[in-house]
Amino acid sequence: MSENMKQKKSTSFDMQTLKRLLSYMKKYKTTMIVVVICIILSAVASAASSMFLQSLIDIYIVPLLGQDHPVFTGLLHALIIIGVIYFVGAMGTWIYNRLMVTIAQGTLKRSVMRCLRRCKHFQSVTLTAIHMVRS
Amino acid sequence: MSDLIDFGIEERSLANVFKYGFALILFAVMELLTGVLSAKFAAKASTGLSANLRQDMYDNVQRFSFSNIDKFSSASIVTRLTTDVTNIQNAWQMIIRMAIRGPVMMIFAMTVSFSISHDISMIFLVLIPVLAVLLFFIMKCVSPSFKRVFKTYDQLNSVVEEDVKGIRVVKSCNREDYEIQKFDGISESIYKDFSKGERQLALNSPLMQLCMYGVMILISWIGAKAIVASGNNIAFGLTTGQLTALLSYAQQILMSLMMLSMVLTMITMSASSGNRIAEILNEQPDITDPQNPVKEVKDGSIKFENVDFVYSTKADKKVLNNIDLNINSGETIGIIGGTGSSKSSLVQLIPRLYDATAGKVSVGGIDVKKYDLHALRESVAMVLQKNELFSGTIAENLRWGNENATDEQLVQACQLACADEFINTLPDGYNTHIEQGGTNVSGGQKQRLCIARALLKSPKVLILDDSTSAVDTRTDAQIRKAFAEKIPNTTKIIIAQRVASVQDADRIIVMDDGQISAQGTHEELLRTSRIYREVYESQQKGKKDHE
Repeated sequence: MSENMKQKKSTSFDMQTLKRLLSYMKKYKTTMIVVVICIILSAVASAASSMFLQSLIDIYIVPLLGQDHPVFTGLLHALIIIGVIYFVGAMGTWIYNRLMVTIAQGTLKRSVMRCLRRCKHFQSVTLTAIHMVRS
Repeated sequence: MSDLIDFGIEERSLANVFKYGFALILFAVMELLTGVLSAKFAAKASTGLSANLRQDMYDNVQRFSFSNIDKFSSASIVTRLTTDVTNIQNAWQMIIRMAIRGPVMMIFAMTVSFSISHDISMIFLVLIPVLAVLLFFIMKCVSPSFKRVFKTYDQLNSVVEEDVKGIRVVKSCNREDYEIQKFDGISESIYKDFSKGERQLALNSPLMQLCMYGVMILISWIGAKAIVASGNNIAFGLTTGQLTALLSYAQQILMSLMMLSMVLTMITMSASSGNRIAEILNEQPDITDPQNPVKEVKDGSIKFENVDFVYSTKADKKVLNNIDLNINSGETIGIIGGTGSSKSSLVQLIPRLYDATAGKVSVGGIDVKKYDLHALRESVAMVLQKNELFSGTIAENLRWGNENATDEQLVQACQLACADEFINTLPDGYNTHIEQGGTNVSGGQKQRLCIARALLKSPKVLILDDSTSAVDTRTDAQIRKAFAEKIPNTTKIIIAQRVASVQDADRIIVMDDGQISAQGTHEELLRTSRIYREVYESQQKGKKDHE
């Protein structure tokens, strides 16, 4: 068997394994979509945090320097908006963490049970095969 | 960072930008290097810890008596040696890095923050106790779920162990679906408990984020006012550079709190495993060597004096009740009795697999508790009802009885146990590989190999606990004949269901409900013991019906 063929065979096996692993998550398709949305929200909040620090000094602090009666209303509004973004981000983190527990544990349980029920890799294999695995 | 902004960017000094920028890069590289090294050494330390733990546990398990093992169950011991140790390994790997890095990082960041602005840094002092209370509350809720999970893991392992061991029975009785349902029930229970605990733990991260974001908003608001008030002049108060540094330190403080919360999480998750490991390590073997033990067994005489026995102190009924029995050295004793009549329990007290609850058991005229355990068990060979062969060749298995046995001695022992004839038919003879549990030999062959293994000890007492049950009657008779002729000085105790297996014995003991119901020769018992007569007649009738 040539090196290329060996590589091809190994890749196809990996893809099959991956496909099979993903099939255990089929039940959680909608949940996975919610998880992805929540991760995006959490990441956006984190990015907004860095961007806000940049604008905090340039837009909201520096223009007020040297003023006799500085007005902080603009800064207050910006802080309220970023506060809401932060809150949504934290909620996103909480939701995806919770949902990931359900997906991870559920997939684990389903994969083992499916092996037992449908793939019949344990209860239905021949005794000879069990001997081979043992040895 | 603060100096880079205030003295580099604000003052438009390229030299200062390079100076402080270079210092920042240097610190970043140092952080990278130390981070890699700490990860490497933490991995080494944690894997080393788990290896040591596992070894110490395993060593202690080897010293356990049967009652110690009964107390934990073999499945639970396996879970503790595998899953629990892995949990501790993972937890320790994380804890040794974070439990040091977190507090150091927090103390450093707090000190510098207070040196920049005392007022703003007070926010941290308010935040830390609030977070600590919330974290403590989460951990308290989570802990019971994980404790339950590890107990259920024991059940899971027990079910798998039972199923794999008895896979032939499962298949022959068509019980695959039942086994799957049983596994499913336990698996569901683990799923629910683990999910519950993990969901509660999932609150940790967003809680930390909320605190971090809240602190940044507060610092931004108070800091902005302070900068405007000072005119961004370090001589009059806070500067933009210092505000940036404060926000950066705030992130570090919250990061360190996050690390500490993860450490707490890992401690909570692994505490149950730690306790279960400690139980194994702290368990004292019930049966130990006495001080100044007797190292030699004089002869094969055995004496039971008013012996009582129970497996558990909580048991209502005694397994053995007031046993008095004298066996002379070299005598052949048959023990017969119904299922659950405590035949096996009686003989297990001789090599101290269990200790008598009351009374005294003596071998060679000396209390078994006064012997060195190794010496006693070398002199008392026991072929158990469910004896095991291990993966390896037949010769290797036989040498469990005597590691220094020569090939001639192996053959001699196998001839006595009538195992030689079937070994010689195998293509590789004594070098034939035995599968784990001896699954590639028949029940009768396995029993004969186990008898040969026991004979290699040249014991003073040989106990066969129903260990010829799978051997045909002709071979059984041959084995008994060989015993009588070749090892006349060895005391032989034969527990059997078949009267034919014991009827030639010097004396037969009839056990009933944990007591000696009768004893005597075959002929005497036929006259005096109703139980013995009934067993004999039913077996004779069965034999005639079969013919």
